[in-house]
Amino acid sequence: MQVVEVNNITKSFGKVHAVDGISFSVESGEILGLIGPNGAGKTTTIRMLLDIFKSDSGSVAVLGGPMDESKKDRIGYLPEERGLYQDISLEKCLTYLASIKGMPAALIEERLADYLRRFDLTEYRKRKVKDLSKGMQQKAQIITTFIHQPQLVIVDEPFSALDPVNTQMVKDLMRAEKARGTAIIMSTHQMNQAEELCDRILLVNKGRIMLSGPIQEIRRQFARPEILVKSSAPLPQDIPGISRVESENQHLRAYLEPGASPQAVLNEMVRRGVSLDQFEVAQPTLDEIFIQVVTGGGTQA
Amino acid sequence: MKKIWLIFKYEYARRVKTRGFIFAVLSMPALIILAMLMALISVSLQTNKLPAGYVDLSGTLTQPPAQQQSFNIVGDIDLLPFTDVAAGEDALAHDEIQALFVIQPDYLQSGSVIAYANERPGDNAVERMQDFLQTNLLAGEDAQVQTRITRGSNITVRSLDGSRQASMRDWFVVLYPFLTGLIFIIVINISGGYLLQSVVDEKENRTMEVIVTSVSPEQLMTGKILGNLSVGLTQLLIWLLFAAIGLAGMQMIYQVDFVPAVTPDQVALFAGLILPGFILVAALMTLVGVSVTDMREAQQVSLLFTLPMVAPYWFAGALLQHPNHPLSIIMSLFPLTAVVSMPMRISIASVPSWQIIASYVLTWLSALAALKLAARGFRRGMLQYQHRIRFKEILKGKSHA
Repeated sequence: MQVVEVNNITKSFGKVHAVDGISFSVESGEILGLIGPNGAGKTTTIRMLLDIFKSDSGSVAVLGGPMDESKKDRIGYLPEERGLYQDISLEKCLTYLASIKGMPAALIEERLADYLRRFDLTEYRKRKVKDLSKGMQQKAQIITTFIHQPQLVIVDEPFSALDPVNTQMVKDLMRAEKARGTAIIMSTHQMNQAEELCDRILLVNKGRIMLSGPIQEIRRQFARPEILVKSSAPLPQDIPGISRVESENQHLRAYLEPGASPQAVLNEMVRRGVSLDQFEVAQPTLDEIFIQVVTGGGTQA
Repeated sequence: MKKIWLIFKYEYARRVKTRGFIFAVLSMPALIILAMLMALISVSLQTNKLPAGYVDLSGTLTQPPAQQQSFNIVGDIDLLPFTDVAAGEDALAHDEIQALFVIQPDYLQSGSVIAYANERPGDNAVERMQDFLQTNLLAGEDAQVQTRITRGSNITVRSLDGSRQASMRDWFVVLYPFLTGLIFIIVINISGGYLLQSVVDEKENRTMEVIVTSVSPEQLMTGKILGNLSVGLTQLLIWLLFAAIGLAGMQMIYQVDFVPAVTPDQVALFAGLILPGFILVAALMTLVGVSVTDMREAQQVSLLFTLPMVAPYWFAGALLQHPNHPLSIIMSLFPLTAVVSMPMRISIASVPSWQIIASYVLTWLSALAALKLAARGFRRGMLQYQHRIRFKEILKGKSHA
């Protein structure tokens, strides 16, 4: 089921075109990574999805139609900068934020107790929010995002200020929500997290989509004519298809000649009895693709 | 509606449960109690519980003095008659009386009374003697005439068309415009301050961005305005309660009727001016809160409309002396000054009905327009963290939301 459908939206602030013709969709049970450099238009896009901003043109459909007040209770939002009341207790803050999502008091009490326990915050529930660490506040913000079991979740830098243990906890939560059928849009700069969690990514720069699609497909698309080989013996110099070989830390990097097939190179190595511990077609990381696209103007998938 | 109620409840509870609010609420009653204590001390210092004596050398005092009341906090005393000055002086020397009043033989012609005392006689003794003399002088007169002379006349000021009138004795009618204006300014400053703080805080700590993904900006604004206004009204209500207790106490001390009567005109003033006045200022406070970037700036900008509210007090002399002067009329029609100016004029002059109606209508229209503007500004400014939005942008309807 399609949860979000965005068609050619634009948004300008004065002479600045923050978003310039972005289109995408998100299905239920899918995690979409919204990535891009600072000022790329990610937050503006999110705000248009949430009806905080109106688009200048184009259309946004959320949960089956245009965004309206009745749908707000089915959406969870985690902004990049934490938005919690500082001068009240954690419990009061979370209870209030859950109540305005339309949750009945008894359900809030039940779920809140569960979430506080899962995130190791039970003993801090009576503390004022301002007295909690950044990581604890981030966890609290994550609870407000998920506590009402929304159908659409939009998270902006969800792992900010979290240690590896808590990061893993949030990843598990996101995966569980995905399995429950929740559509998740995750805006992040952390490419490794996007690679790990997202089914698809949308790379935005200067208000436009530079790249979109499933991560593996994008990586294949950006794959370079290189192979990584780990062998206990030196590689023969005359293997057809290899132009040169460089030694790196743990492996050898073999550069292929134009048109050479990695499969043919592998077959030749096997035929010659080269002892291989590892043979891998070198694919760029999402970080490398990001830098390449943003600095060099990548291709639109 | 439910979400407005939730926001209202939250805004209200978070304010009234703070130490600052409790301190502010209790400070006024504490001041009243202190004032009452000081009044009591002052009264007790000016009174002397010993009886006073008198000797009538003029032969005009035919009525015996009335006995003192069984309980009187002011310190009413007995007047003891003495047949001659020597007996009275002896009683004074033995501290049986606080003063000896000797009514001179030519009293009727000269009004001369000599008081013998070791120290200044208490006010209660002097007043008691004056009343006693007055009663005796009027002894032959009709009872109604006696009452009129002792209690004075009741002058009622009435407009030519007979539509408005007020008794000069009805202190509440005279004080009402000042009191309502003062209360309005106090409450709106308290509530407005809370409202301003609430909006600026939520904007600064980014909570607003989270809240508006759960409720509409209009719901958020309405809940905030109602919640924070209720905080001010709660404070006022508690103060009025203590004030009523204080008035009852004063009534007991001074034996003067302090209980005011509320008239339909005063109710109309509340509905026509004070209520929309609250809404108007609250909406403007909200607008300022979302337009600026920090509390200091918010307080400075809010002076633009809090100062006009108190302006009628600067011009109070002119308003009361010349209630139908063009300046007075303008001030009673301009929404920000009308709340204080119009009641002032009404209390002392016959204000044409059209002006009263125009004042009500203009204040209500301004309040509704300010609400609409605040709603627009709220959407426009709630996520502007770095710089303040310009009023022109809101007026022109430049909105990203």
